[in-house]
Amino acid sequence: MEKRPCISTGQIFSMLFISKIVISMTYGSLLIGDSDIWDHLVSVPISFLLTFLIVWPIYKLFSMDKKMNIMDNIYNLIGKWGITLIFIYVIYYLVICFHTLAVFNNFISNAVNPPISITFLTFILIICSCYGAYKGLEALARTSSFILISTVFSVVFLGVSLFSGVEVINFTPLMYNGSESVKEGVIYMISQSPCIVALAVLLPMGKGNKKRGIIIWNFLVYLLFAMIIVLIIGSMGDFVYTQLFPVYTAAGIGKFGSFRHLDSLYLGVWISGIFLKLSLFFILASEGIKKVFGEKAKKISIVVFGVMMASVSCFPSFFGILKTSVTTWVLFYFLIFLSLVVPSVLIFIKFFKLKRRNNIED
Amino acid sequence: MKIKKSIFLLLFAIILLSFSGCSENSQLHQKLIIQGIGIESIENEYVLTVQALDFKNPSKEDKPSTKILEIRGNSLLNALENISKQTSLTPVYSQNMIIILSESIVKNSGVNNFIDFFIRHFEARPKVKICVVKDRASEYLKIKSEDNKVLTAKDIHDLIPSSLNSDVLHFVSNLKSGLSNSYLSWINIEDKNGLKQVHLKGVGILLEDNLVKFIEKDEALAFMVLKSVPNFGTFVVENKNLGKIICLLEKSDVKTNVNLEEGKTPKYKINLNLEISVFSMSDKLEFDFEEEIKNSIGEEFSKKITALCSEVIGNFLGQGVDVFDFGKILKNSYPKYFKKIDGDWKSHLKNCKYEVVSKVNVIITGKEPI
Repeated sequence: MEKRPCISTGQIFSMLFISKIVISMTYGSLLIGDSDIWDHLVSVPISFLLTFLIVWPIYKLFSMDKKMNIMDNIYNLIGKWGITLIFIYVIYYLVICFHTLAVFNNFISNAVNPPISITFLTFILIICSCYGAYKGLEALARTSSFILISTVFSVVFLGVSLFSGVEVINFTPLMYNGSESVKEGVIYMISQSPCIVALAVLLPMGKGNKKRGIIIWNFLVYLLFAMIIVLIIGSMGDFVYTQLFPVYTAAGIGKFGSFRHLDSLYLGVWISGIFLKLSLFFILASEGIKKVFGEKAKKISIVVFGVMMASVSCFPSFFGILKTSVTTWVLFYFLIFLSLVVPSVLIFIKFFKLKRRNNIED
Repeated sequence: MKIKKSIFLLLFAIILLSFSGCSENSQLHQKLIIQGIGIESIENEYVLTVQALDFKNPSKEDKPSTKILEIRGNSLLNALENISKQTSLTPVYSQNMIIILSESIVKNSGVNNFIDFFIRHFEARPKVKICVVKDRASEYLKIKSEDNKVLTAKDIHDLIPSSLNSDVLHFVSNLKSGLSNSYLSWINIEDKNGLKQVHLKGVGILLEDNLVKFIEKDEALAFMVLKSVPNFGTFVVENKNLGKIICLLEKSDVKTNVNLEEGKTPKYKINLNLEISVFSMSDKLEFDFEEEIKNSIGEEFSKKITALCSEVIGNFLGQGVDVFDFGKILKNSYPKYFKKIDGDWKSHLKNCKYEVVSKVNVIITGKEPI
C-alpha cells in the first residue's frame, strides 16, 4: 500500500486560501489590463458560483473513490496512455509556479525595487520553496497555519486601516460602461484559481469534511476579493487605475492610530504566501512524477523543477508575458480542461466500467 | 548525512548573504532624505528645490539639520537624476511630505508633464500634499522663521488641512476622472513686521491640467466650508443686538443630493451642517446669555454663509468648473441620465440648478453652561 501524507481538511484549505490570497493581493492593471475594477464586484458572486460548478467534477470523482487522486484515476482508468494526461497536470502546476514567479518578479521590480538583484532574490525564493517542497506536505501544512494566522491578522489590520479613508462618492454605478469588464473579471478570477486543479490531488490527502471545507474556502476567498475591491476603490477612486498594484499602494496609505505606511506588513505576508504557493505547486507537480516514475523520482523532480524555474529566472524578459491578455485566457482554458473536462471524462469512464462490472457480476 | 548538512549550511549562508545588512552598505548619512520638493520652470528648464534631512552635518539639537539644494534639468526626471550627481547622495522620496508647484509651471506646461513621477515612482506616496504658489517655489523651502531657522517642509505640510484633500491621490484622481476639476491648495508668504510668514491663502483651480484661477478671501472661505474644511479664517457677522461678532467655523459637514426636475435639469441641494464658535462680542453680553441671542447669531451666520456658498457655486457652474463633484454625484444618482450627457458634462454644468441650506449650531467657547 502506497504511503500517503495525511493532513486535515482545514490545513488543505489554509494552504489553498493563502495561495489564492497572494495573487489577489497583486490584483491590478498588470494582470487585468484596462478592465474596470469596480465592475469586478459583480464578477465576484458570479465567479463564486462558477467555482462550485468547476469544482464539482473533481469532487464527484474523488467521492467515487476517496483514496484515489486524479492521477491515480487517470492511471487506473486510461492505463499507460494516461501518462500524457498526468504530464499535462505536471506541466500545469509548473506553469502556475512560473506565473507566480512572474508576478513576484514584476511586483518586486516595479513596487519595491530592492538594492539587490531581483534574479538573486528569485533564486533564494526558489531554493526556499524547493526546501519546503522537499520537506513534504505535512511540514508545509504546519507552516501554513502560522502563515495563515499572520495573513489573517494583516488583512484585517489593513482593512481596518483603510476603512476610515473610504469615500462613498468613489462608488460609481456598476456596469456603467456595459458588462465587458464583468466578463473580464470572471475570466481573471477563474483563471487565477489553480487551487481548483490542486484539489484534484489534495482531496484524498485530507481528513475531515471536504464539502464544508470547499464551501467555506470559496466563500472566504471571494469575500476577501469583494473587500479588496471595495476598499481600494473606496479609498483611492480613479487613482487606482494609475497603479500597477493598487492593493500595495492602498496598504501604503492606510493608517491605524499611530501605525502608518503598512506596505511593509503587506510585503512580509505576501512573500511568505508566495513561498507557500511555490512549495505547494512543486509538491503537486512532483506527485505526478511519483505516479509515473516512483517515489525516488519525486524528490529528485523537486530539485529539477527548482533548477528549471531558476534557469527561467535568468531571463527576466520571460516574465513580461504577464502583460499580455493571452496569459489569462491560456490559464483559463488550461484550468477548464483540467478541472472540468478531464475529471468529467474520468467520471464517465468510471461510471461505465462500474456498470459493466455490475452487469457481469449479475 | 554529512553532505546533506553541508548543503544546508551552504544554503543558509547564501540566504544570510541576501540580507540587506550584508549586501547593502549604504549608510544613513549617504542618503538624502527628502522632505519637500519645490518645482518651477525658469527659462525652459525645470528648477527643483529640495529640502532634505542632512545626516552628514548633524545639528547640535536632537533633530537633524536641514539641507536645501537647487537643481536644474531639461525635465523633472533629469533634474531629479542630477540630485545624486550633484550631492553623491542617494535620494529617498518615501519621506517626502510636500510638493510645492510654482504658478508658472502649472499654468504654462501643465501638470501632466511632470506628475507621473509622483504617481509611479516606487518610493512616491500618494498622500503627499501638493500646493501651488504665485511666486517662486524655492522661496518657501528656504524661508527662515523667527529664530533664524529654516521653515521645515513639515511646517508647510501642517498648514494644509488634510480634509482639503490637496494631495497627490485626490489631485490625480480628479485629473483621471474627467468629471471633477482638480484643485490645489494655495500658500502665500506674508511680510509681518519684517518677518516672513507662510499661510494658507486659498485654492488654485485647474481646467484639465492647467491652472486657470486662484480664489481667496470670502470665495476661499465658502470653498473651504463646502469642502468640509474647518478653521479657515473667521467670519464677521452683524447682529442687531450685539453688533459685530467674530465667528470661527469649528465643524462643517456637507451633504449634497441631486434631483432631476421635470425638464430633466439636475437640481442640487447642498445641506450644510455647521458648528461655529463665537469668540468676541460686544460688552452687552454677560456670562449668562439667552438662548435667543445664540439663535439669532446662528441665523445671521446661516444667512451669510448660505449667500456666500450660493454665490461661489454659481460662479463655478457659470464657468463650467466642477470642483464640488457634482458630476460624480449625478452619475451615481442617475446613471442612465448621466450617460447621455457624459461626454459633454462641463457644458451641461451651466444649466444645473442648486440650493444651499444650512443649519448652524453656535458654541460660545468657554461660556457654555455645564
